[in-house]
Amino acid sequence: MDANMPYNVMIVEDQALPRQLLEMLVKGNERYRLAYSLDSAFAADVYCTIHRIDLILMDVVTAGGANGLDAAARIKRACPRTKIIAITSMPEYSYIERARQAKVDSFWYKEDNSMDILEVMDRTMAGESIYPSSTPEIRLGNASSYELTERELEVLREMTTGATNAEIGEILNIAESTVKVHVKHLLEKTGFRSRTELAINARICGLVIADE
Amino acid sequence: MNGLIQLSYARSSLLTCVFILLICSLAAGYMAAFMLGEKRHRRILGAYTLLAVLGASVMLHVRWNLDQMMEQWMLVALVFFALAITILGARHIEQLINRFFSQPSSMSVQQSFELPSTGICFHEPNGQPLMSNNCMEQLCIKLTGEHLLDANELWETVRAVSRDRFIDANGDELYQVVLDEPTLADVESGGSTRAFAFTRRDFMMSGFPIFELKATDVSEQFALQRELETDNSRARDLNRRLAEYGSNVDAIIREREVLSARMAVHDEVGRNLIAAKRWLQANPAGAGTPIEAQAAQEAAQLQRDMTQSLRLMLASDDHAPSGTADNLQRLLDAAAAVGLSLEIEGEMPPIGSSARELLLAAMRECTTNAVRHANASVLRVRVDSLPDGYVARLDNNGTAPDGPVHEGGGLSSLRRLVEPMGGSMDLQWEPGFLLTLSVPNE
Repeated sequence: MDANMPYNVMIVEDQALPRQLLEMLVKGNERYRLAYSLDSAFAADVYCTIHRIDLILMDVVTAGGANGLDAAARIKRACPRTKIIAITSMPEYSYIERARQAKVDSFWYKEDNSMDILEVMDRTMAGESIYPSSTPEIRLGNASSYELTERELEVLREMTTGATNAEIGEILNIAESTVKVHVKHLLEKTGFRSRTELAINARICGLVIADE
Repeated sequence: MNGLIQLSYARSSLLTCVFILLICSLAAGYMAAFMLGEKRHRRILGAYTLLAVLGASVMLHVRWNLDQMMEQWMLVALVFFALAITILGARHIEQLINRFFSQPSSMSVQQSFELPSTGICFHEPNGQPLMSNNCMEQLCIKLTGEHLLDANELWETVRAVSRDRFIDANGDELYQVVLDEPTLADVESGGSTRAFAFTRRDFMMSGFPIFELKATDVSEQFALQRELETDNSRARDLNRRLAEYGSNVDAIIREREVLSARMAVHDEVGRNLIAAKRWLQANPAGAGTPIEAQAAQEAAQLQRDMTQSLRLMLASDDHAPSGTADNLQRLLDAAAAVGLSLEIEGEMPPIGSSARELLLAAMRECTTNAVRHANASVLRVRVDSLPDGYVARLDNNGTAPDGPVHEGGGLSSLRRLVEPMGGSMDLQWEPGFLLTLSVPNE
């Protein structure tokens, strides 16, 4: 048995119900000990400065506009030995890649029925890195999220912020005419009548989430 | 001998006539060049005229004894001289003639001046109009209420009332003036707003500075521009609403997730109840056999799950929606948990402002640094509110850095946040760590 057991766990989750479920899970298991439970990733790294935190269950979209992956990157930089599991219910496809870049150890979708979080926690603490093989498939209008190209998803993400074609082109470093073509394809694939309808639906289903 | 002299006189008088004709036409050319303001032709033709006069006077002052070799050659030279000047002068005069005929006639000048959609006025630097057309006159009356007597005054009025100012491709200033807003009746009858673009440039004419004031009818472009503006403002409005929706949708998603979680709990409770009921139906008399004992255990487990689920459901009802707490409170809590107290002097930027978020991010960086590296117990934040932003100085009571502070991950990413917003960040390590942050208002 590991000398550090029980592992100190920090939960960062802004929704009351999932947070309580996670708290209950941690408290009900002798291998883990609940150190902190926060609603926002904003100041999560401050707790790690002097306290030994072995594992963080980090929601990606948290209260106060703080992105859990940014906080994870900060924590991993200062305390590389702290294990982090990113958890989310948002199918935003770029989260997985960003989590890898932030050196997050494992990634778990809340709706994933194939493996429960406790198993992911145990295997992560044993040194494994567990990532889903793909994002969940999402329906957006008539289209499956798998049918959309990466570029189209990038354009779609900026569209949800209310950016104009010119602004999107500037952000993504592509011509405005190219943006128009992507938007046209998106509308054709999904069957929505207007870009507003498309943007709102994309935002609701969580396929693309722009940082605040 | 006499005959020869006669001949030579005849020749020389013919030559005299040639010279006189030459001088006259050159002088005429010179005058024409003067009138047309052609400096180069004027100068050259003037020189030729003088040369022709010189040649003629040489010819008149020689006795013309053709027996003498020298005078014979001189005669030949004079003939060639006259020929050369004729040819050269003729070229210039031809150019001048072409020039004269390509000049617009006074009639065509008048016609082009009266084009209804273009106003033009040439005037002196003091505003005195030299030449202006009816359109400019009408424009002047419309804009200033007076006849066009002072072009400078008109220009000032144009600049004062102009709706937009552009710089055209030549780098000249262009002022767009809208004459009258169309009434509903105008629009219905197909009429539209008249808009003129005014521009003015100065140039030299015969050594005098002249101003050219021009007004071009841009009503059509203006109508299109206005249409575009309307479209743009509609698009902006839509985008704004979309952005607003985007910020609300988080709350909607959260609510929906809570609802689906509750439904799941509800399902679980329902399943447990059904299972318990079945077991009770199957065992009306109670436990006895080992299998029955196991079943009883399972039922008890179910009962516990159910209670927990119910408790959870009730608990989630009590919880106010989270996410209402401010990041400052979160930071204060976190700092307290690691034994650091934050002393804030001055007024923090208002909640929701980007200045506040930046300052909070800086405070968080300084908090972790103060705890990790300085072993501090107090982080002091002094905030000064300026008319156009905030300046905050952050220091701590811990040990001073050994040397210049290395801008590692946290501080450099803070800099990347601050600088694009037009703020600045300054680090000092002597006598102690001090971070000075200035952030502009939005």
